[in-house]
Amino acid sequence: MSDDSGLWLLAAGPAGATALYWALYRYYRNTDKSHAFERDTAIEAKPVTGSDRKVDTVTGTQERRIRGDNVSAYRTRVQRDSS
Amino acid sequence: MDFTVDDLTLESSAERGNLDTQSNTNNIINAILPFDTKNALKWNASYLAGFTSEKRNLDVEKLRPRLEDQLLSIARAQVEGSVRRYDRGVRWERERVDVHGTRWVSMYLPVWLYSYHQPGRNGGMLHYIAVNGRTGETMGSVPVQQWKLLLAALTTGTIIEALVLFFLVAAS
Repeated sequence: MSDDSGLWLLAAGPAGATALYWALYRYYRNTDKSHAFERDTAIEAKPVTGSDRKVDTVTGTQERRIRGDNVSAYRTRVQRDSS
Repeated sequence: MDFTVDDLTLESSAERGNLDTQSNTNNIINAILPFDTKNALKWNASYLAGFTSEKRNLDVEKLRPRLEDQLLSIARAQVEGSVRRYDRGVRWERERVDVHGTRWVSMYLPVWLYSYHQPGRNGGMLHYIAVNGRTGETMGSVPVQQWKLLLAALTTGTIIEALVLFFLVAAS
């Protein structure tokens, strides 16, 4: 971490400014708020069924999460299979 | 997975159903949902005396895309717990929903609204403060002055940067 003599710290100013800007904007404008229907509705779900099929092996990766991890981005639609 | 949802509240006015936060603040009114819809009463015109009401101008077919979108979101939220064992996350690539049956009810819901018009480009922005007439849940949008926001951000950024420079010079 310190082998680059801490020059990355110089990014803290712009990063802090941007973060504060968005934090204040969202605090006043509440643009990120909407009905939390995923939690606020009564949902009766049967247990999830499914099976795993191995398609590939990745070795030696240093990434902690899969690329494009969207497990918590419920509202972002992915490709829709037509029924 | 199979699931039943009881119940989803959707705005049946095309204008109110448009939740684009770039152009309006309807998401504020959306955010005070849900209502205790189970306690709804049979329609009576005298309930509306002295109040203004939104007009329903969408029928069920027009609401279906939003319904399916919300059902997919619910499904994704429901399966999250079952994929925890994949401890490096999951990337969903395809999804599909089959709606097996629905029951639709049209309902008037009480919302206290305060509005403030902020002048600006494209007719400005109408800001709402909305109170759920049954639960008291409140949400609001307050107009921000861009230059004050920028000033606050730049000031803070400058202070942080000065501290960093001080630290780097002292450490070297």
